[in-house]
Amino acid sequence: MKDDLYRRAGISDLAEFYRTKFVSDEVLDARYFRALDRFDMRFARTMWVYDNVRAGATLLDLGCGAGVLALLKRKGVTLAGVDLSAECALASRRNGYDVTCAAELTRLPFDDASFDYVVSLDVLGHVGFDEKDAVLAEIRRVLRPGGVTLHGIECTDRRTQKSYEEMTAEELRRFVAVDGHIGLEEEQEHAARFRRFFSHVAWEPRYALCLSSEEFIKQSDEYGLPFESDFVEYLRGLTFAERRAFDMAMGYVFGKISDLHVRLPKSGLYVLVKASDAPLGSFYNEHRDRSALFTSGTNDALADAALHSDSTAPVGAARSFCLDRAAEFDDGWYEPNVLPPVARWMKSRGRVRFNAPSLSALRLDLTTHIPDLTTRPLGLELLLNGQRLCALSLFRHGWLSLLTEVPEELATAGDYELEIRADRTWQPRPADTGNRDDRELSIAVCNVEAYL
Amino acid sequence: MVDYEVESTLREIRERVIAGSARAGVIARRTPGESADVPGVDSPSAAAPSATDGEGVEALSRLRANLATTERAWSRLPPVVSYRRGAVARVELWLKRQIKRAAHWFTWEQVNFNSAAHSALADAHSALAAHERALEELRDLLRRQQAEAESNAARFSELRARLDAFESRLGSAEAHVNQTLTQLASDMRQFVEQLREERRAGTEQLRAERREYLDALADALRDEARDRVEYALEEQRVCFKQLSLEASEAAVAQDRARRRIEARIEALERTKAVTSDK
Repeated sequence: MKDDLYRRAGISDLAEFYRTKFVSDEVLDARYFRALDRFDMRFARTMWVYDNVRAGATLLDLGCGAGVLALLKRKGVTLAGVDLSAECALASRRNGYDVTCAAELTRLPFDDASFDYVVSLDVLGHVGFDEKDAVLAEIRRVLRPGGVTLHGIECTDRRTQKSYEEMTAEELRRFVAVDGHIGLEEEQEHAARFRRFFSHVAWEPRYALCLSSEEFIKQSDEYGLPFESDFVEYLRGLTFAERRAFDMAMGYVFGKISDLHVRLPKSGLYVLVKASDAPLGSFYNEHRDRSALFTSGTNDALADAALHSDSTAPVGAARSFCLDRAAEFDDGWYEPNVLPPVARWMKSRGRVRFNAPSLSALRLDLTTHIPDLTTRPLGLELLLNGQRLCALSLFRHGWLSLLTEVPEELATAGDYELEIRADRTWQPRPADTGNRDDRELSIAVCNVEAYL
Repeated sequence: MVDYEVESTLREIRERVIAGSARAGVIARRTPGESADVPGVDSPSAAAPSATDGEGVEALSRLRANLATTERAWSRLPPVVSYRRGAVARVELWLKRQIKRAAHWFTWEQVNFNSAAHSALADAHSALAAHERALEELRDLLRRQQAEAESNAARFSELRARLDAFESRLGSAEAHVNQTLTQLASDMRQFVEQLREERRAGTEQLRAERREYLDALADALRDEARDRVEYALEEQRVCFKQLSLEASEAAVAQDRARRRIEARIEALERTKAVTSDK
């Protein structure tokens, strides 16, 4: 049945299909996570898992994709991932998962009772009806006694959506080709299925109210959900910054609905399921502790360690520590991308705040993809605590290693703010309807190093 | 009644005389070479109205006049009259009446003859009139054909003159074309020779340009390859630097953990020492 649906949709290589759908250059590594992104609608499901997993536990992520649960490393969780695609498994590994592998969900390559938690997000809707029970049996097998399984599952609403049998060949092809959904059931059907394997099951319909702007457009365009057309057109016209603001607002409301335990009506879109053989705690915040999300001040410890240890000091050079994963990057920076290396794109102005007992020099690698650089060089200016360190013009592409000395009067300030200003920006693909990128970019920066 | 008939007979005689004199005048005005016997046949002037035509019409008119007479008088007999007087006259009239009665069969034969003559003349008149009309139509046709023949002859003469002119011009044009072809063949040979020369020169130039282009392309490719290699090396350098920094962070974290563990070991040993002292 499963293979038949995929075949009828024209999908012959499942691993390749899911690789193209779910692997991106997005960096999900927990060390790069900004606390503010906990409100981003894109991380709403991640935060639900984050708030329900005990610190230091072991967790298996089924269908790990690019590694959307990497944030749980902030809580010291040991992360294992399984995916049909080897490339997805590798991407998760790069994003901080401790162990990943490519495997079928019906034959998990782990011993019995290996994990405290088994989680899947956007996976069970991709599992065929004839395999769902086998997957749940495997989940039960690898869960430790008292372990909890958490799932975010795509749903359908048979009152408004056709079943697979009712779809024409073309409708089925288009439907499955969007995301590969071949096992959509209604919310209560998912819950009933879990009840056959676990004695305690809780479920909440979600996404009836809050969707990201991208998801609104996708549900309207690809699945034909009847949102108001002028609203969808409005969303389509939003800039990157406006879309992010919209997603943050939606994520904020999503979080508050969870915090207030507001029961939403059946959505026909998505359900969160929590199940265990042991009695369940709070559905949303059983182990809520978000303090680790705000530990960007680890540069104190790094600086301190660099100061007291010879192991990190390059031979013949001052001791240093890296700010990429430790300092606080303000809103002048976009989230990191895998260029490679992992780097942050800057808007026209970006600030980096950090602490250091002393500071003798700053070093960083930067590049730009801005066009017409030879005819119109990009002007850059570096300031430290408002005092100009240097100014330069970029007139060629490629990576530039920039080392600048810190003036004596700033050497022992303690709190530092490095500011970089660019005299212009560009948008990579502002008019590309299929893959629009209207971010205002200037330079990409990484390996920001503070020398003590 | 008798006077009236006499008067009309005299009028007819007068008209005949006048018509005869008019015909004589027409014949007298003709040229000596013209034939009056065969009007309109094989004669250049046949198309023109001839005296014979008039004669035919005249004859028909006369015939029609005579027919009026015969029509009127074919059954009439002269009255029985006498120029004598008295008894002699009465005897004469009586005798004449007797003779008239005795010669009635002869008179009747004469009347029949007159009737037949009148009918024959009437038929002849109709036939001749029809023949005359046919002749007139033929004459008209002949005149038209003659006019057309004259027009065709003029047209033929004109076409002939034009054809002669065309032939003359064609001859001169042919001569000119032959001369031009000869000139063109000569020019073509020169042009082909010139093209060969230009091709040789162009080929040499293109070869040189191609060499230059390939050299430039090779230089550009070398430059691009160098740039890409440099970029890749720079990217590698940055990636390795990132790895190095991450390794340093890991080393720092490890060092901190080591120091924490050592501190705990020291604390444990101190506790153990204190415990053993006790």
